Amino acid sequence: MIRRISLKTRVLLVLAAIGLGIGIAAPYLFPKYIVGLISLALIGGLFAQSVDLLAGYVGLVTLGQAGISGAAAYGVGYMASKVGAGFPAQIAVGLLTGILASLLFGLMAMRSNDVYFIMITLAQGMIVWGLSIRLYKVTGAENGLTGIPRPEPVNPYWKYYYLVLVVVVLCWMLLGIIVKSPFGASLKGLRESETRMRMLGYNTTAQKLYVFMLAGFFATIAGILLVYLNGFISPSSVVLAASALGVLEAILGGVGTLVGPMIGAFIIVAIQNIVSIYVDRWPTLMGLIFVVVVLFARRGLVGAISDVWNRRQQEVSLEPQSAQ
Amino acid sequence: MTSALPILHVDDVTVRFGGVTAVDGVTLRVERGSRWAVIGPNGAGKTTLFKAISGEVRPTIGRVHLFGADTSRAHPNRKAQRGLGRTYQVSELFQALTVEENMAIAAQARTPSRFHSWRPLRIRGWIDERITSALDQLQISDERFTVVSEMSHGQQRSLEIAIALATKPEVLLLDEPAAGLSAAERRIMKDLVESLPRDLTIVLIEHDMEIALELVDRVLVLDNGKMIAEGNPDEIRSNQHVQDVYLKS
Ligand SMILES: Nc1ncnc2c1ncn2[C@@H]1O[C@H](COP(=O)(O)OP(=O)(O)O)[C@@H](O)[C@H]1O
Ligand SMILES: [Mg+2]
Repeated sequence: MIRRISLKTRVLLVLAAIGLGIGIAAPYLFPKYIVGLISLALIGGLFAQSVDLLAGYVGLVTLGQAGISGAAAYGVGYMASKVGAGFPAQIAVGLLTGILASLLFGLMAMRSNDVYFIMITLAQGMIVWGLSIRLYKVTGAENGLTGIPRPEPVNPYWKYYYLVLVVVVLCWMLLGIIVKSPFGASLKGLRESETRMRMLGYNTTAQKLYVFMLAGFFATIAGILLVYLNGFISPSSVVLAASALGVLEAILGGVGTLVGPMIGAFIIVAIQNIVSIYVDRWPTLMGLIFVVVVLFARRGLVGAISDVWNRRQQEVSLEPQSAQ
Repeated sequence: MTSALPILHVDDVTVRFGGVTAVDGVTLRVERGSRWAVIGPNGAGKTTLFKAISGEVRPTIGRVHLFGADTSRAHPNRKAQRGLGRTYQVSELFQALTVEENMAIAAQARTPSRFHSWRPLRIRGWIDERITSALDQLQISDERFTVVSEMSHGQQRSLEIAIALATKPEVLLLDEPAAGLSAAERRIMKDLVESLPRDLTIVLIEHDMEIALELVDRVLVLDNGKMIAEGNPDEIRSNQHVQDVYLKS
């Protein structure tokens, strides 16, 4: 078979170039407020990608991912506002708490599947939320931790935006490598049949722990980026709705892809921040969108677009030869 | 003559599910390179015996020795790593993936590369050779890039075996490879199983006694979880008890 760059690949490359171009030019094109929203969407997209690594690729739907990103954010916040440590220490502790939470939660969840996995991760998110309310001295309870400054070199909003852009694109590329790797293939096998995977020789428990920690690592990065973007962290960042939002974004954009969750995050941020100026019932609106997607485009926006594309391609190839 | 240690030794194994005794004191000594059939009517306990060998269920009583080691309590993945392969009566395939992806997952299963996450999966070199030879063996090379859910039932039954072969097992358990196939397809499947490498030790479950007896050197007959006969195909054919069990079923 001759290997050629297909039309589809070319279109995708052009779209990626346009997206990256807009991403780089954004601070010159848009006001501060919008650049802030794009930062938020990029971070939300990375978070949703980490959810989708579990939900879309392995079929393990997590409702506790905000507990992991939250643990990282609280780690940074605690070092910044309670200890007064420097940025390297803040970030190191943030990484540590996030990765530790992933390990702990991974060990708890690695033997479960389906609804049990959902329930366990749900409980894990609740534990972090409970701690954030209870441990007043560490977390500031309902008030949260405020006044967390950004590292000086990236303090101006547009510089921080570029940092977010670079980190998110790097993580996206890393995720892209992971899902296309031998391990990535084995994750799809796990989604399709755990019985078969075990009989082929895969230690599926170890597989689940490994992928859970990988997903947790990317959620940790998202949590650290978010706490510096907002300058504060409070229990509202680790509530169930925050975890569920990641799932919603992945489903909306298209599970089992990396671009889907990113698109989903941009749509949700747009709805939350732009449409809600006119519609003060955005949660209802989001619920409706969710129902519509699940009913009419189960594979999300990306799935729907690729279906339409494939149908068009078929029609083109069915046209009579004399038409040329 | 010194008899070598059997490659698989099921030693007086009983498996109970609550009140049901699915396998009742079965013993089986499989020599390296031999071909066995386990036959018997539906519900006789054949699949449960396989599960006890593979580690999917633990024997309630008795031991399972594989490759000379006691593996009665080992998990299926550990046994697979040592060289046990198994196929399923009801196909257990990665339905949403292509044949090639199914095969690649199997081919890397017993190599350290299965945990590599920092480099792309490339189907070339030894992985490609393994996939190609197993697909050729089962005559489904043309379907390499087909998504499994779009294949015919017969092709899926062949893939079931190809996947197990791709792990390069030393002992292969085939659970009714011809299940759900037409009479003509069953003959083809019989030839395919017959053509598997001679050094591969095979234990085959087959409901169809005629097909089973043509394929193997030794036969174990189960009924209601109990061994009712053991012998070579001719002995089994002429065994009145076996004939009775098959006639009533
Ligand atoms: N997981 C289980 N729980 C309870 N009973 C089971 C289970 N698996 C099999 N059985 C019972 O054990 C007996 C043997 O089943 P099986 O090994 O599947 O038979 P065969 O493969 O010979 O048709 C049947 O009576 C079946 O109902
Ligand atoms: Mg059976």
